[in-house]
Amino acid sequence: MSNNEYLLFYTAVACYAGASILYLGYLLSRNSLLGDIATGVTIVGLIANTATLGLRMYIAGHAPFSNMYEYSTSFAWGIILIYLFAEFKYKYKVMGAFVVPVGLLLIASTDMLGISKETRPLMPDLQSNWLTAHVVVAIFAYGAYAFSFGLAIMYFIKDSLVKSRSRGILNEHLPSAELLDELSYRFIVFAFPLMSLVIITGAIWAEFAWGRYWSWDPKETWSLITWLVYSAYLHARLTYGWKGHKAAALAIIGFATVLFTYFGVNMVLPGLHSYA
Amino acid sequence: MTREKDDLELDIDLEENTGKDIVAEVWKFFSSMKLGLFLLLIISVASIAGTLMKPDPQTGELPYNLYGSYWYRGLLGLLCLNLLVCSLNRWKLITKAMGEPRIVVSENFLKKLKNYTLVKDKTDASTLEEVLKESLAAKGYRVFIEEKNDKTIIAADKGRFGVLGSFITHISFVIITLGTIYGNIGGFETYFNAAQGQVVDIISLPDVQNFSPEDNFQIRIDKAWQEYGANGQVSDYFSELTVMQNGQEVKSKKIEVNDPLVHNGVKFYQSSMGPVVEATMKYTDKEGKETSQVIAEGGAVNIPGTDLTVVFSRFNPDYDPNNPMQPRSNQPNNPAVLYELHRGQVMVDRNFTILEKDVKFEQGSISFGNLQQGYFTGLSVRKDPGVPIVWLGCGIMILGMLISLFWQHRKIWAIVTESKGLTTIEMGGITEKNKLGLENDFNAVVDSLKA
Repeated sequence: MSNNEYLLFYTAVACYAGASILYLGYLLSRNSLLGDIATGVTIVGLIANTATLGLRMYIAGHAPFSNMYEYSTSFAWGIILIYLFAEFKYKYKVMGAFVVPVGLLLIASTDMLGISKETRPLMPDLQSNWLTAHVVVAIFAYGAYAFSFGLAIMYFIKDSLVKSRSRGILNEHLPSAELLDELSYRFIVFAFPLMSLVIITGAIWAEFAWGRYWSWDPKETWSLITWLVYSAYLHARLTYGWKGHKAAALAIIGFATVLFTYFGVNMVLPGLHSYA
Repeated sequence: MTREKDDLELDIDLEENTGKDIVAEVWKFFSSMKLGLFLLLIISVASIAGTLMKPDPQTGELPYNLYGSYWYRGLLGLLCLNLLVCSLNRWKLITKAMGEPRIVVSENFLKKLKNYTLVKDKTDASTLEEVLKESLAAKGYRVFIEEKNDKTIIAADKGRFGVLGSFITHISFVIITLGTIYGNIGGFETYFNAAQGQVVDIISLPDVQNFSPEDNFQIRIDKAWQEYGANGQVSDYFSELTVMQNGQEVKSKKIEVNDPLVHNGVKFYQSSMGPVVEATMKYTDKEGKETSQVIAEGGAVNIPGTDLTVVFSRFNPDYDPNNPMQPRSNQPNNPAVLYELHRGQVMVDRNFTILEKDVKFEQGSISFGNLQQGYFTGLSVRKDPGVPIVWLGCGIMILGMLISLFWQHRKIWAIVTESKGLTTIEMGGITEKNKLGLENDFNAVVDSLKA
């Protein structure tokens, strides 16, 4: 890994860490300057993150999808991109205190787990445009799920503050529980078709690479479990009106399965996906 | 009241319509969302358990084939049945939702809606009605108007085709499942290793079934090799294959990982590769003319201008004439080749020969030499007639989800009354999905009244 890559990567990590603290400060102080700085730092982080991936693509000569370092950096990029999009659209900077740390944890996971950042050639079965489509869609699906997760956490905090009739600044500053609940749902509605597309493009790729569109390997099975959990969420919500606590709990469980599909399967379970 | 409930809950089940008989009870059981959610939970838990099983370190096989078990497949089948019955049940409501919205509603019904507002204004009723109609139409709503007992009721809706989305998505799940089942019962899956020059007969491979002898053909391995990247790691595996049918070459293709060969519904995937000994076989005919061909252990080549085939049956690195089948060591101290000569189906000669030594027969002589390392190719062979159905189902699933995502059925009603120069408008709106989107529409329409 070149020095330039190190510099860009750790600039992104530092920016996301700084932005997480700044957003938290904004959440607790309601100082709008702090909020604006947080947004600026996040944007700088995203630029550094983009440059990290771009430089890696240039050096390796292929899309940055050959090892866990590259995946984590790509997924963090997706989370932060979706976050900034949502911040500009919905104008709730407080969400940054809950979503940017998820991006930070993802990009920093490489160092926390001691994963090599070295450039690796793409294994033959990874050299497919279907893989590129598969991962690009996954980046956005996971980003949206991460967002719904952050909102579900906010929902629980807001709800308990409202119930305890808190007059603190946190209660004042968090959007209404109802809005958090609805937004969390909206992001799952957006992510669900994308997640389906992730599974489908993965199946098409597997059909070309291994001759089987579905082999029940742990990664595939866990992506199906994720899909089942979120379809349970959507059905329970639309039919039984599961909102609030139940919905937020399912959104958190759903994101936990997403994280396990990403980290757990690679580290705990054996399978065809063991390289990624 | 029950009619108004229809509008509130599109997903209302048809419990009231079902009688007490057994058919109705069974139908009701399979149409319940509780069963669906229960199945989603059970299948998730079972799948998790399946991924926790440790494969045997020697064979890589799992101790129990959970995903292939009858009860797991049964659960998936039940889920399909459940969502099929649910979809059929919903069909009536869907067609109703796609028709005209219910126009006549009561003020009480509107008051119960999440989005409700009461506007009083001195402008005359007909002007305000026009404003409402225009602003609703501008937002893409269909507008219906009915006069009833001095009241004007305006009903508007948009995105009514969105209700088709979930129906299509559910049906697609059933299509995918049917495609999977058809692939399982109408195809086969097998594997073979073959060296350069070898011809493999498809129907003779193990585990080949659901394959008509008329479709049978042979695959000749013309070449197998691997390429390396800058750092010395293998970057890709290749095999050049020729399809032979009735002794004729039908087509050739260079396959690699991610790019299989397809013929008569059978696909050949580059699956593995390994080292194999290759020799150059030199043929000298009666006139002393020499031709050379490369032949790999396990492979066969035709002797040009004759009806003879040479098979490189086995390589022996350290040949012991007293115990020819058992090499003395792995060192190439006395390398020898076990060859076979075939004339058509008949084997005419089989013997060991050391390198560079002529083996004579009527039409000339052959010798083996120039040993080098080549590759055998490992190909997965699969026939799965269900794949197109599965892809069709996947396409339909994405289509259904996009419809659900982009068309959300939203309904807005307004009841306009005028008395003593004061116009009263009661407005209500409802949607199943995207409540924020409806709220925006609703507020925009309310604002247009105030402008």
